Amino acid sequence: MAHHIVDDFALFSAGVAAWTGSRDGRRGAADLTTTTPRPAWCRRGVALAATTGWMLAAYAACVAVVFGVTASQHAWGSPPWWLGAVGAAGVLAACAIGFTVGVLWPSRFAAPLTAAAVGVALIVGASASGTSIYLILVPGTGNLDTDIVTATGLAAAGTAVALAGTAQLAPDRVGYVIPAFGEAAADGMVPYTPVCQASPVGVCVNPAFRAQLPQLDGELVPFFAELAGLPGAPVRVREISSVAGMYLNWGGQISGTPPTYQFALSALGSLAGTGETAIITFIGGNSASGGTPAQQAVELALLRAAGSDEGASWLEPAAVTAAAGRFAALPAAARHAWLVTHLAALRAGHVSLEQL
Amino acid sequence: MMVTPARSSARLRGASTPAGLPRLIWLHAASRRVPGALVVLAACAGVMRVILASRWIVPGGPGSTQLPAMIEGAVAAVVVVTTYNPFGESESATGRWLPWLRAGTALAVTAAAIGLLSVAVAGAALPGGDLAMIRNTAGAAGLGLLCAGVVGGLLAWIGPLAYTVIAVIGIGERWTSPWTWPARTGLDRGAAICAGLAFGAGMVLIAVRGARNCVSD
Repeated sequence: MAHHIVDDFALFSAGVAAWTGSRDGRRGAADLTTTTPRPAWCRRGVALAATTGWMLAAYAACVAVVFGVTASQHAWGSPPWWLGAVGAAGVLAACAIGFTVGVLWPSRFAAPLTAAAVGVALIVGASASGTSIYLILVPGTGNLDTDIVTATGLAAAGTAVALAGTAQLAPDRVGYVIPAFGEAAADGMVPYTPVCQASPVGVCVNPAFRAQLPQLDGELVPFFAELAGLPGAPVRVREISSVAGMYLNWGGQISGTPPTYQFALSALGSLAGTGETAIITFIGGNSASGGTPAQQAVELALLRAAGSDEGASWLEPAAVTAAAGRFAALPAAARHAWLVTHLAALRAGHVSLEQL
Repeated sequence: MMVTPARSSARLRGASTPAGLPRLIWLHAASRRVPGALVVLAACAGVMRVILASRWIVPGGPGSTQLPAMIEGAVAAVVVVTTYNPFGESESATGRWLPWLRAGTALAVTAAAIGLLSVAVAGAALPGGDLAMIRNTAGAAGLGLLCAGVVGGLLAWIGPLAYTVIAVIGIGERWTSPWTWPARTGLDRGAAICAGLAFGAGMVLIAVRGARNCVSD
């Protein structure tokens, strides 16, 4: 919830606030409004407060719908109020940024560009390989009222950055914990009892995905058939949180005893790619590229044997696809026997393309 | 400088002839802030280039497709806000060239946006390739032009950006509908048809009716 609602609302909050902030300048009324008896920060503060208020009201309505629908579908746990507060803070920040841009740049292009810039920043923040983003605000009006507001904003922003800097990844990797707030700020998962299906592949998922369990099991069968009997091959499947999946290049991993394929379902429950990830992470580990060229070739061959063409989009080198074709052309029994013999060396990256 | 009625009418007569057409086109473009839009589009192209050249995004992840899609949406949003005119309904009484000017301006700014983005992504590994970039930009611009006919030019940016937000979700969720064309590959025929339909419909609407004039703008 936090990711989708904050992303969607922050973008439009910034755009709408920029549109409101640029209104006086856009209409050529900036000089007129300076003659009013109220100081500039008061006039603009009212406009910002109104914009922020409406956006928060819309956000609260959406959160209420999400919580209401969730409560009607699932009986366990309690609403994660903290996520709602985090989203509200995101809306506040986006409105402030957008309004500031609108005031400083009263152009017809201010609103769309501000909204898009916030969208780009959110995508970069969610996808970047780094762990910290620091925003630097540069005041420069020389006006006392504005300086007070700016100083207050900087102090608040500095406090927020300092607190965010103390955030630690929760031990179970389902979210972050800010020590100063204690457990109240832990955005962990609501406790649940997983629902499982024993055959043909043993799969356990969050009860929210109960309806998709048979379809998920069917999705995994051809991929697990390719790995069956190999040393260290996964024999169980367990869903992990989408937040934990964000730290895995392929959204899944194989770990534990007995080997268990842990994967993340997206918030909207899309099953696409869940089977492919089992083969890729089993052969190539958590490597973003899918592993060494030989590992990629074996992955591609196994994916094709399982009836998937997902691998073709990221395996571009001709040598890899050629080797994959050679390996896939082997009879299934010969392919399996080769893997049993060479799997350890292959997973360790000691096999070359020519050896396939 | 004061413009006398005689000189003003002479200029209007001149605008209806081929000799006065370049000036008419320039005035129409200037009233839509097209020069400013070109500067902004160049800046967007620069941002695209920086992002593709940087290592901010995990390669192969959804972000590597979502980020270009967001910038293409932003470019489309810039294109559609140029449909706003400061003259209101009175402009519709100025001559028979107006539908052609509106369509030509929208087409030229869209082409300029695609051209600038093409220069920006030249030599870089853009997910989906140049065809996907052209399709995404034109399709989102078409949606924005349709939006301009409904809510006016200044707020038309909401259309392409709202669509882009949906498309970004679609990329992450691997939606396969051709109507979420940014989630499809560059050579996908269905996605190209849907984007083309959106762009064509937007062009027709903006040529025939123009952007809606809103007093609140």
